[in-house]
Amino acid sequence: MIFDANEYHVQMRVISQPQYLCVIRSVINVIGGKCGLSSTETDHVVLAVDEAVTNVIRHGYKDEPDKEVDISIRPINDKDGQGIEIILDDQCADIKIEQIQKRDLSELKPGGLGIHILYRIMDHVQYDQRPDAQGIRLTLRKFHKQQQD
Amino acid sequence: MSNAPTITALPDGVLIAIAGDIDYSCTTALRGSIREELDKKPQRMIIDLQNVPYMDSSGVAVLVEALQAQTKGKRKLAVCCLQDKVKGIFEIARLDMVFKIFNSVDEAKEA
Repeated sequence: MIFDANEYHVQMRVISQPQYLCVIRSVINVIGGKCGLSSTETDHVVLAVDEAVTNVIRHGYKDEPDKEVDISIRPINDKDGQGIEIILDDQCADIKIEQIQKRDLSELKPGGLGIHILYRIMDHVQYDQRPDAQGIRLTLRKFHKQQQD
Repeated sequence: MSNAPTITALPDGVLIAIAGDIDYSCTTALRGSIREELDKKPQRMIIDLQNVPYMDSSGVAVLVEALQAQTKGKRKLAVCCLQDKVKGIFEIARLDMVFKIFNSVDEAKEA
């Protein structure tokens, strides 16, 4: 793992198999409250991370079951407020950041909702090329808002 | 992970009751089960989600495919008994105005 464990409170390396999405959801569900999020906010972050990891497995790794997704989680408390930061690092070779786009929802289509959901739910969504390795880093942040208590 | 759906014949169609979380780990199987029923061209398809505590967009995509197939054949599709988290993703994806959503199976049968 690439992060200082003192900075990132929880770090997971998950194999690229959808059967483990429920494990990721369970972890986020527990940590959300510890980062000061309401239960509704935590539910939304759980969905966002599920969507992000599913996108990596499905589109990035094309369902190859032996790849890895690294997930690093920490509480944040800065000028923007209190909340959670989640970083997803993949090793996708063929995906360019420019290809990752949310679609227009005015047309009824079965796919392409995941990115839209990320942007709807999270306060901060940022894709970067990984500085240390092949692949993409997705940084997600969600801040607690008082009115949702 | 959801279990195999429970299929119940209705006088004018089919009731499909799903149980468990719906995510990318189970949508291939779920899509197959629903397509099998869609191929029978039921006049009314009701999808009961009362035992589905969680659904992500891959599950929503399966329901959108079913809605498109039923609509194309001028047949009905309704979903019912959505738990709060599932209702939430319908709203986030702005599909709460696209699907006919009912609070109970009986309401869906009468619509």
